Amino acid sequence: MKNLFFVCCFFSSSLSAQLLLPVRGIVPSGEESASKQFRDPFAAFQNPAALCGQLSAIALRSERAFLLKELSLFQLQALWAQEHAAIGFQVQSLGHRAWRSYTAGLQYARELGQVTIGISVQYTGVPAGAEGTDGTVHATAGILFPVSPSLHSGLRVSNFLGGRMLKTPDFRLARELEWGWGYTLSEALWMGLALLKTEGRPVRLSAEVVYQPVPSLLTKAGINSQTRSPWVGAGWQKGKLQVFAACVLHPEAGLTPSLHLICSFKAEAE
Amino acid sequence: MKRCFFLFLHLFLSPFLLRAQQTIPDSLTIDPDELERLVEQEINVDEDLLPASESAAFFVRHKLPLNRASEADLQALGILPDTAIAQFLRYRALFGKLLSLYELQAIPGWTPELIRSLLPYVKLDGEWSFAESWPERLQKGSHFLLLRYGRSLRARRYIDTGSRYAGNNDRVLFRYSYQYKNLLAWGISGEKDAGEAFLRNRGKGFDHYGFYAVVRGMGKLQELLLGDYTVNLGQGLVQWQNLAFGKGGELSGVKRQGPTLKPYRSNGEYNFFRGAAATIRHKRQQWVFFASYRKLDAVLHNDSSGGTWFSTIQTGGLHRTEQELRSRAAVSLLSGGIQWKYRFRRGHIAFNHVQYAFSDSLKKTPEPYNVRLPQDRLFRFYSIDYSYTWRNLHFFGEGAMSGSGGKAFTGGLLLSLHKRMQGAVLIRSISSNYMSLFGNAFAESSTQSNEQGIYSGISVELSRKLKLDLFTDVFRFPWLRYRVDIPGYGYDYQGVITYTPSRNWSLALRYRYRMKTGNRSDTDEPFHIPELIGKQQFRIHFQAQPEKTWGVRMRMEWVRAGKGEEGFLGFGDWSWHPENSGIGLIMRVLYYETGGYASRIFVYENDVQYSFSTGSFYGQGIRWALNLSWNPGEIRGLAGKQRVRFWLKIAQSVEKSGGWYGGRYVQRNDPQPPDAKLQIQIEF
Repeated sequence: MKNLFFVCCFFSSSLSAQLLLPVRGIVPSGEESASKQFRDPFAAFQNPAALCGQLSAIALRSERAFLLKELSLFQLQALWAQEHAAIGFQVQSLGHRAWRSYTAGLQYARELGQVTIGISVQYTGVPAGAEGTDGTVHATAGILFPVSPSLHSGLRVSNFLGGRMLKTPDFRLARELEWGWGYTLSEALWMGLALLKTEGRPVRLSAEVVYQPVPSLLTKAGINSQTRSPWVGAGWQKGKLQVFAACVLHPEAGLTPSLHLICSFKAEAE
Repeated sequence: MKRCFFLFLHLFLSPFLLRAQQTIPDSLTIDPDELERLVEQEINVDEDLLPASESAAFFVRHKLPLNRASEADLQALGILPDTAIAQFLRYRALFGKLLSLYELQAIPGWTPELIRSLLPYVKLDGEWSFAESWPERLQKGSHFLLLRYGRSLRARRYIDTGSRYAGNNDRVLFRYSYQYKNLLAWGISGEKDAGEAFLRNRGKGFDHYGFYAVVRGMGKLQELLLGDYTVNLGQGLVQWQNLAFGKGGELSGVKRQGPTLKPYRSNGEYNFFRGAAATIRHKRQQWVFFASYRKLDAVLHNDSSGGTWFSTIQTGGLHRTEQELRSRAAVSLLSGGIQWKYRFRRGHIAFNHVQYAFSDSLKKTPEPYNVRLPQDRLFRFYSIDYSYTWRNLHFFGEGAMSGSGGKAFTGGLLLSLHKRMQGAVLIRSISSNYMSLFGNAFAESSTQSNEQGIYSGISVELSRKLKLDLFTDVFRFPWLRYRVDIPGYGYDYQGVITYTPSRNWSLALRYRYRMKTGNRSDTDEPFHIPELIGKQQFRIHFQAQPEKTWGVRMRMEWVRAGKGEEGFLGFGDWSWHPENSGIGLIMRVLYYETGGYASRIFVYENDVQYSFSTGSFYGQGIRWALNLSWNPGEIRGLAGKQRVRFWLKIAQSVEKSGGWYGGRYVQRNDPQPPDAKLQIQIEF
C-alpha cells in the first residue's frame, strides 16, 4: 500500500511531462565532462555535447527511487570517442512490470574549435492504457564551451523538436532548457552549477562538487533545489574500471540509492 | 609632466583597446536592453534603425579627427553624452591637442566602455573639410540601394469574419540614398506591410513613401532639410521625434541630447514631419525654423453641429482592412516652429515655440481621465531649455507651457562624483492638463501628461571587474489615467551587478521591482477597484566571445507579477563569423512560460541589418531564429565597383494560438508559421 502511494505521488508530480521521470541529482549536468580531470559518461545523458572529451566506454547505472522496486531505473551508455568527435548509444528503462517506460537513443557530438556541440535523437515508449503502448521520437541538442581555461559553460535544450506522442498527440514530453557552469578549481576539485527549467515546473538549481583526493578515489556531493534533496557518492577507480555508489535523500520520500559501473576502453592517465 | 605620466601609464594599461580598434562595429549602435525597455514602456519605436546605423556607417568611413572636432561634430556622433563632450573639450582646452588615442583614458569621466564604443569612429588628426565644391558633393558620394522582402512561409488559417486584407502577406521595403560625407544626402523609400495592397494600390505602388534631402555647410545657413525630417527640442516636453531612452540604461540616457533637426530615413509612418526646415548659425546664436504639412490616420466622427472630430491618431501605419483604409490620411496636420539657442562656454539656453493645426478637432473620449486634457484644433507650446556644466556637475532641464494653460518642467543633474562613480538626479512635474503631441520626455508613462516624479541613479565601478548600477524612481499621477480610476502613485527600483573578469566574457545579474496603481482586472464588480500592482524581475545574463570567430549570449529571466502570476524566459544565442569568409551566422533558441499577460517578458532579437525586433512573450512556447549574413566584398558590376551584402533571417514561434490577429480571427490551435526575411544592400 505504501509503495502504491509513492508510485501515485510520483506519477502525479510528473503529469506535465506525461511521463515518469528519473530522480534528478546524481546524473551530472554535462559541464563536468568539459573538465579534463573529471569525466563521467552519464553526463551525455543530459547534454549530448558531453560525449566529446570522454574516453570510449560502456557505463551501466542502476537506481531505485525511494527504495521502491516499482521506480527502478536502469541506464546503459555506450560511447565511442575519437579525437574531435564521438558517437554514443543510450538505453534507459524506468519502472516495473506494471508500468514501464523505456528510452533508446543515438548521440553524436563534435568539437568545432573550442566549442563542442552535440545532438541526441531518442525514442521513448510508454504504456498507454487501452492503446497498449505509445511512443514518441524527440531530440536533445547541447553546446559546451570554455569561458576561460578553468571555467566552462553549457546549454541544453530537450524536446524542442518532436516529443508528441504518436497515438495520443495531445500529450507530449516536457520541454527542458538547462544552463550550466563548471569550474575546475584544481586537479582535485571541480564545482558545477546548473539551472534547469522544465515545462510547467519552477526553475530548479542544482549544485555539485567533485573531489578526487587520490587518483583512485572519487567523491561527489550535490543538492537539488526543488526538493531540497542532497546527495553524496563515492567511487573507486582503477585502470579502466570505475565503480561509483551514490545516494539521494528526499526530505519526505526517503532514500534513493544508485550504483554506477564504468568500463573504459583506455585507462585514465595517472 | 602630469600629462606625460598619464600617457605613459595608459600606454601600458591599454592593450584591451587594440581589439576594439580593429573591430568594425555592428550597425546597431543602440543597446538592445534599451530597446527592450522602450517597448516594455509601450513607447513607439520605429522598427527600422537606419538613422542610427547610417550615421555609424558614415563615421566608420569618415573618421572624426578628435583634435579638430567641434562640439557639434561630437554630438553628431550620437555616442557621447553631453557631460563627456564637455569634459573632452575642457581637457583639450587645458592640455592642448591629444598626442595619442590612448590619452582618452586620462579624460575625467571617460570610461573604458565609452572609449571602446567611440574608437571605431574617430582618429587623432586629419582631414575634416566642410568646404567642398558642389560638383564634388554631387559626384563623389556613395549610392546605397536597399531591398528587403519578407513573408510568412505559410498562410494562417483564418475564420471568415468578413474582414479581408487588401493585399497579400508579403512585406517589401525599397530604399535608395545618396550620401557625401555629412554635407549632402538625399533618399527615397517605399514600403508595404503584410496585408497591404501593392501595385494595385490605386496606382500608387507602395503603401508608404518617404523622401528626404539635406544640405549642410553653406556658411551661416548651416543646414537645410526638405522632405521628411524630425525635430527634437529641449528635453522632449514639447517635441522629440528621435529615439530617446529613459531609466535603467546608461545614466546619461536621462538627458535628451542630439541635433535639433535630423533627416528622417526610417520607414516608420508616423513620427516625422514633412516639409522644410533650416538651421542658421551666427557666432553663438542658432535659429531653427521648420514647417510641415502632412496627413495622419484617424477615425473621424461626426458631431451634432455637423463638424467632424477624432479622438486618437493611429500610429501603426497599417492599411490592410477596410476599417484601416477608411481611417487612412483622414486628418491633416500643419505644424511650424522656431528655436533660438544661445551657446556659451559651459552650456546653452534656448527658447522653443511649436504650433500644430489639425484639419479636425482633437476631442478625447468623454472618460473621467480625459476631462482635463485640451480639446481643440489648434495647439501651441512654448518652452525654455538649458544646460550648464560646472566642474563635475552638468545641469539640464526644460520648462514648457501649452496654449491651454498646461505646465510642465523637467530638470536634471548628471554628476561625476568620482572617476569610478557617476550619478544622476532628475525631477519632473507635468500637469494633468498638459498634453504634448510629439513629446518624448523622461517619464514613467509614454504620454507626457499628469505625472510628478523624482529619479536618482548611481553607477559605481567597485573594481576593474565589478560594476554596480542602481536607480530608484518614485512618481505620482495627480489625476486619473487610462484604466486607473484614482490618482495613483508608484515606484520603480533596479539594481544591476555586472562582472567582467576579462574582455571575453561578462555576467550580469539584474533585479527590478516596480509597483504602481492600477485597476484590478480579476473582479466582476461593476466598478473598478484600484490597487497597487507590482512586478518583480530577476535576470541572469551572460555573454562571451572566447574567440574572434564565435560568441554566445545566454539569459534566464523570472517575473512575478500581480498576485503570484509567474513567468520564465530563457534563451541561448550562438554567433559564428568564420575569418575572411564574409559570412556571419547567429542562431537563437528561446523558451518561455508565463502565467499570463501581466508576467510577459520582453526580449530583443537580432534581425537583418538596419532593423530590429523586440517581442513580448507570454503563454507558453518556444522560438527559434536563424540569421545569416554574407558580405562577398567588392564586386564589379554595371555601375563599376560595388559592395553587396546579403542578409537572411528565418524565425518561428512554435506555439498554438487562436484569437484576433490584425483584425482577423485565427483558428484555435493554428501553429504560427515560420517567417522569412531577405535583404540586399548595394553600395556603389
